[in-house]
Amino acid sequence: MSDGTRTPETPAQQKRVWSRLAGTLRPRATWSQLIVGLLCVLLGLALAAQLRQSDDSLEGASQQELVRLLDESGRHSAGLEVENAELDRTLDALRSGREGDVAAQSAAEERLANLEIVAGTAPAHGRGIVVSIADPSDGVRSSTLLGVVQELRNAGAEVIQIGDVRVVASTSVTSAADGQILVDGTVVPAPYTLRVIGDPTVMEPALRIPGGAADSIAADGGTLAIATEEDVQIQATVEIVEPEHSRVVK
Amino acid sequence: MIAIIGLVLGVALGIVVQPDVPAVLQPYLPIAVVAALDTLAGGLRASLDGAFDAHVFITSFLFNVGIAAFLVFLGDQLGVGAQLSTAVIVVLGIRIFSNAAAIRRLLFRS
Repeated sequence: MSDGTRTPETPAQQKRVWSRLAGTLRPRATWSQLIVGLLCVLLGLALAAQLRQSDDSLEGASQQELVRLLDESGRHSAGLEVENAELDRTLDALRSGREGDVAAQSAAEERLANLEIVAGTAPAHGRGIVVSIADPSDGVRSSTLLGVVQELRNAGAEVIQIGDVRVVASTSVTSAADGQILVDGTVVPAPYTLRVIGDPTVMEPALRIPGGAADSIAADGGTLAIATEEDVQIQATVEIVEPEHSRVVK
Repeated sequence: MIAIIGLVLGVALGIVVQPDVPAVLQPYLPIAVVAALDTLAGGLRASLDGAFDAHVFITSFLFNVGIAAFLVFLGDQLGVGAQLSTAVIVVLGIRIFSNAAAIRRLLFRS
């Protein structure tokens, strides 16, 4: 070593070094020794404090490290903000798409209800009239009854039921061989009851027009009575028959 | 001997009292501690050499600690605090090692 320390060459020199060590370790109450001790107390204190301080990873970090950490967390949070905004947009898109779907579905349901009423596949109720046709002399013909139905349709009837048979676009009113009236092939015995949903203030006068339905019934020997009801229930339905020959034009 | 007692006493005191290091001193304390350790090793070596002088020890202790802290402070001001701290630690570490090596050679001659 070039730092001036001489390595002891002989055992005697070695012994002297050890005795110096013993001398160093021997307590001596001089001022300088006291000051050295005091400095060592300070050193120990600082050592302990520093060791305890280093437990906290952030407190021991230097300024640069803190700045870097802050930077990193800032970048991280910016990235998260961007992701959040994207997810928000996606959520909005999905929500508006769902609203569109809901609107389309409710429109389709409304349309389905309308079509069911028109086609006669669903029960219906509403304001309307109940027409009772008494036929004591069995003189009322099918064409007269059909005339009554046509008159009601003209007056804006929406749903019609004769006896227990729903009247739809394809409904026929015919006479059987024994003079009984068939509606869609079902025997409907007299007296005939027509339950009609529509505007009573239009339909009732329409039936009573001179030379109209009421007069035709009277001419066949029957009587026609009309009752206005706030809630006419029509329970009869028809089965939809698959069209055999017709196809939808697209 | 008083030095060892003082050291043990200081560590015990630090553990018991749990002093809070002021924020201003926080960057300098570790460097100062290493510098003090270096001075301690140098002092022990000098006493084994028979050249120990308490006045030299005290002044070198204070001076080393002061200069180490000042270097760190200067580095912080110049924007190279981390690098300068590393440099100071490396130099002090080398000195501690060489002092320890000298002490070992004095005591065990090998």
